[in-house]
Amino acid sequence: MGEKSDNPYRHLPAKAFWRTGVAEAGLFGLSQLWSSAWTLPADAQFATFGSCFAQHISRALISRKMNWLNAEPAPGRTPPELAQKYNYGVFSARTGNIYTAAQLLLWARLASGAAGTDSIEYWTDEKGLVHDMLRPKIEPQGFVSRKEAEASVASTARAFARCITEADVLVFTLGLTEGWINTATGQSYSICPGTGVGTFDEGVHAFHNYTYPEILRDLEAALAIMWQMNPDLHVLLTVSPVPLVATASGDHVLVATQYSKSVLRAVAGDMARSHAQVDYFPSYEIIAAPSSRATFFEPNMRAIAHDGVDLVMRHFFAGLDLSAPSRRAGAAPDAGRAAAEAQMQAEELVCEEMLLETFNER
Amino acid sequence: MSDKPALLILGDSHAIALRQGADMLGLAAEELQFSGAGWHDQRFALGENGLEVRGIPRAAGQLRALREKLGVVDVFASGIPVLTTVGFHLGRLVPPFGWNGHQVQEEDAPGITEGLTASRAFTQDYVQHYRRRHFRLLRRLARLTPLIVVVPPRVHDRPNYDSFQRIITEDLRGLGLTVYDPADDLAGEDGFLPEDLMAEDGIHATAECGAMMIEAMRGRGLLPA
Repeated sequence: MGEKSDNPYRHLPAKAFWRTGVAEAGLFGLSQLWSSAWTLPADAQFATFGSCFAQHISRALISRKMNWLNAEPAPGRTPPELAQKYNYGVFSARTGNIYTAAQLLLWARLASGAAGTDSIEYWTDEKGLVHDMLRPKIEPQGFVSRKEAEASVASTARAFARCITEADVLVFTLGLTEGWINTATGQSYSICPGTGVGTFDEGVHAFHNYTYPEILRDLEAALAIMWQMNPDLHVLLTVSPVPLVATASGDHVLVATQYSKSVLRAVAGDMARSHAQVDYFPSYEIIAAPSSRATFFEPNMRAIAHDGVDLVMRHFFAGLDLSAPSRRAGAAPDAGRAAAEAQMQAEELVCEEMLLETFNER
Repeated sequence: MSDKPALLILGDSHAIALRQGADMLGLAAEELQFSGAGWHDQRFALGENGLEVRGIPRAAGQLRALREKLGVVDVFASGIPVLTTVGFHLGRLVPPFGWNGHQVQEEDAPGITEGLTASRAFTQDYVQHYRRRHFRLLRRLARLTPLIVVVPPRVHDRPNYDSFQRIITEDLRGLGLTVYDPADDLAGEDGFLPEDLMAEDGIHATAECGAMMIEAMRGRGLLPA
């Protein structure tokens, strides 16, 4: 009887047990947290969207000189401080933070043409400047007119569509379950109207804490639209570990945060399990699980320290499988830019020759 | 000081038509010209002696010769009216803006349906970034001498040129500078400079057009008759 009976756990790897996988490994010894579900081309293009934590993924991809798709870059020769002021280069299109699955669905509908720019709510401030309530802080001052605001939303929708059709992987970071909606139009806001942009109207603006079924439904609908546009698109879901800054749920913000993250985590996990083209990357766990002992939270216990982001991204890159052949080898340089440069040079030559000829005449 | 010219002309290749126009009208004019690229690249500075040219030997020599000829150190503080095309140089400013497909949505234009848009506020900031020093130079000169900024003629409808021209013109007027836009007097019904007033290169105005601009400025009381 000295021999132990066989059972499924006896054949599991070390990572399956807390003692060997976490306690003995230690925070910086964690391994095999994630391995990509897909074999991607070496030059795979990544598009990044979602809550503010998604910005870290954009930056990490850029710093590694990987193919981060910037479908809505700033105009050429924009100085970095100006690009930052106008929120260029933060996400793959100038969507601003997409906190909820409902907002992602709206962007997918805009990108596919199922929704028009007139379906977005616009707010005019006391200076007459216009703000679109889907990206209320995308412009530091606002747009000069409704026409310009709509043109900008359309521009971003086209860029978002490019991300869907051209990216190999769309990384989406789920951020919030809580949000505000317009009960008359159904518009989902990224921030509560009246908190900086918009005017709060309690008769129209209602708090909504999206439930698991609602988030799952919206995410499924958003991805269905995207896959219609690009059946090969892979979607990598993450959950932001950044706690709520405030809750309108009536619960303590700590409890509301745990609820929100738990629901998002569950939806992301189930989406990954039910679709071969969806995967989940555990950035939330790396930062927020007991193994980190809250090491990576700044003193306000909300902001994520740079070291934490680094660790997240190390696991991300360690788990990526980019062993498939490149698909874009020898891609031609931007023809439009080359033509514009050539035209500029030609005109400059004309101007220089004119000046020299003037000297020749005198 | 030797014979005092009636006009000083300062600017890029668009200033040539003004100079040639002045010649046609028999106005004694002197000039300091260098390329739009040089102006765009800010090859100028304001020093103790007024405007200085940096890194363009030919233009620096031109300025030295002008100082000697007029017998003054600060040529553009001598009270002689100055016509200038400084501040625009759209051929260097506008094309890079469009490299990634951006267009500015103008209120009176059809809605943009392709590519990317940039807001007017962004474009104004972009212009300020690249033209702040030019505007400072012009303000300084305008305090010292009668100065008219002449808008380059509208000769094509390439994307963003009108928007940039409008923004720069508004900025200059907002700074209290006198700006003359030849489109107000010389443009055809389509808003463009008529072909017979355009040089063969399709970008610049002819000498005749330069003369017409000067006459128009005189007619508007911007220049002495």
